[in-house]
Amino acid sequence: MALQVTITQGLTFGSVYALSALGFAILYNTTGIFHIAYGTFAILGFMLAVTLNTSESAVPLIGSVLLAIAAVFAVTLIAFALYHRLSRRGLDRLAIFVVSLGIAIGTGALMQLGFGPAIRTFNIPSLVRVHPVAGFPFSALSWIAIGLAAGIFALVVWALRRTRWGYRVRGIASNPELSELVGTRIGLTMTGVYAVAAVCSTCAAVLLGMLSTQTSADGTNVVLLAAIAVIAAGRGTYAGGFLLALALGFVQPVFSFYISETWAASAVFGIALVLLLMRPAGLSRAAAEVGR
Amino acid sequence: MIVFGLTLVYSDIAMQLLIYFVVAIALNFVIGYARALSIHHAALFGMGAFTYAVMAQRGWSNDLIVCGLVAALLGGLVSVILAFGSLRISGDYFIVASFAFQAFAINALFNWTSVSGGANGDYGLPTPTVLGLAVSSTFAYITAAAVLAITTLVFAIWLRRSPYGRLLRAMGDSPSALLTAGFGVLRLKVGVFGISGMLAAAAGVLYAAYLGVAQTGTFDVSLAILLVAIVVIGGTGSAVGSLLGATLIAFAQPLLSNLNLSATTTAAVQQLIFAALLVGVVAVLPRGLVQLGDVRKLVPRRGAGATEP
Repeated sequence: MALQVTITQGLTFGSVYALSALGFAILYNTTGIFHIAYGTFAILGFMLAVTLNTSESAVPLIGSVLLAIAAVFAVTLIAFALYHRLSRRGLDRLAIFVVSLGIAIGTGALMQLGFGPAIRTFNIPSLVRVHPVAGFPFSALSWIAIGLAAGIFALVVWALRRTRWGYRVRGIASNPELSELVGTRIGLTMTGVYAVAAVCSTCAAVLLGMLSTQTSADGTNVVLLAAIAVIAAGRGTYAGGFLLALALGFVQPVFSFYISETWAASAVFGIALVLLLMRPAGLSRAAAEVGR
Repeated sequence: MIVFGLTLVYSDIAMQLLIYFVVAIALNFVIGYARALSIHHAALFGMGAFTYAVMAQRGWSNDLIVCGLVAALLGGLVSVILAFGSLRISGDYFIVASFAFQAFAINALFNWTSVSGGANGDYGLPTPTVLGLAVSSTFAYITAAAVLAITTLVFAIWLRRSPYGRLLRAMGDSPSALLTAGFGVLRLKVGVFGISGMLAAAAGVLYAAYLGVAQTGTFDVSLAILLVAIVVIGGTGSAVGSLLGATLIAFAQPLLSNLNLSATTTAAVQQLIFAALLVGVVAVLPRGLVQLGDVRKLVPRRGAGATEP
């Protein structure tokens, strides 16, 4: 039974982490900016969705998530407009990272003031009720998480490989100046990138808030896991980051069941640290080549 | 009573200022010389605090010098290990690895309940001593912190002016040029990381001894980010900048507490101010507040731009 529970939990949490990593990856791979405020924006989306859904007006779940995605998209757009403005003024990547850190702290503080420090969660019993499949204790939420992550990943990879928008995104990622020179509408193309990131981050945070509890200060964990997966996989690969995040989702339940529940969270960061130090060019050498 | 209250507030400000100043200088060594944005200094600072907690509670020693040396050795050792890692990774990779180490170390400490006391932390730490003399009065604590801060400042100034310091600066500017000139980056990087870790951990000893408490929650990512904010707002690579940043942070909290807000609101308003400062300073004064002192570069010189005869 422990094996079935481990696999189910690993797949569910791993899918959420993978979705979050996909959003971080598209921003990081396209702009090269380490957007540390990504996690805080995701939690902002969750907080808005849960507040709208549980307030007196009780916006339906789908509606509240869509409104939250729109809000996260708007703040991402503003943040990146600022990064690009500062970047044009000659600020280096480290300075842009610090600005992103400032935005993350500021957004976290505003959330503390607006939503309070209380633990929040969606309370939808029908979604978390377990319906075993061949002994695997899947819930509707597990299927939603797995389906959403797989679906969005397939759609994004297809769009990046097969559509005009995808060509433009890849062009901007490899040479933004040349892309601008050949007439690519950078702003419009990047709007799509921010939208994908907003969808991924908000959906991941909402799912995480349904699977467990969240507070307005939990953004760091969200971005840290996503960044570890994307950076350890190697810049330029979407599948690598997605699969690594999925694998990180398994570390915690495996540790909890077979070794020690207490040390499970430490194990995730410990393994990530070893991974980053052992494979600095990323897990996929090809990915590192693309990222150059 | 009022005098006692004021003394308490000002002693807290002084202690926070002096201790944050030491940790900021330690962090500045890594950011300024090795050009690596470290997020794990809060963990090193925490390691120092728990070193004192364990040593004092188990009756091994409550002497600040002994505990400080042990903590410095531990902090230096961990930092050196991370320095070897930083040779393989840089930029965003190092930031993520540093973040991961911070999260790992604090999580591990939290779970290691025999050392950290778990969620409750280590309470009621014994009064420290220095060479057999009890450090019990506020004045004694501030004197000890001032000695550490002044020693650190003198060391930072000496290091900057020394041949070793010039090599360190060269390493920050162009490691490849340094390698071409025949100097090994490994030795320099390991050295600067080691010194930085030692100072951060030593400051942690004094911090725990003054508060009489060591809790893992104090040394989490929020503190790590606050330390980065102190260095960046003050000015990277500058001891004066670290002092400016630490002063700003140390005075902000008591000033905000006068607004009679709840503890949560005060913390949020404080974070909001730091965030605005962080973004504002990086955008307007890329070298930090210390740049304000360089008036000559801020104000255009008369006749600037005119061709020389």
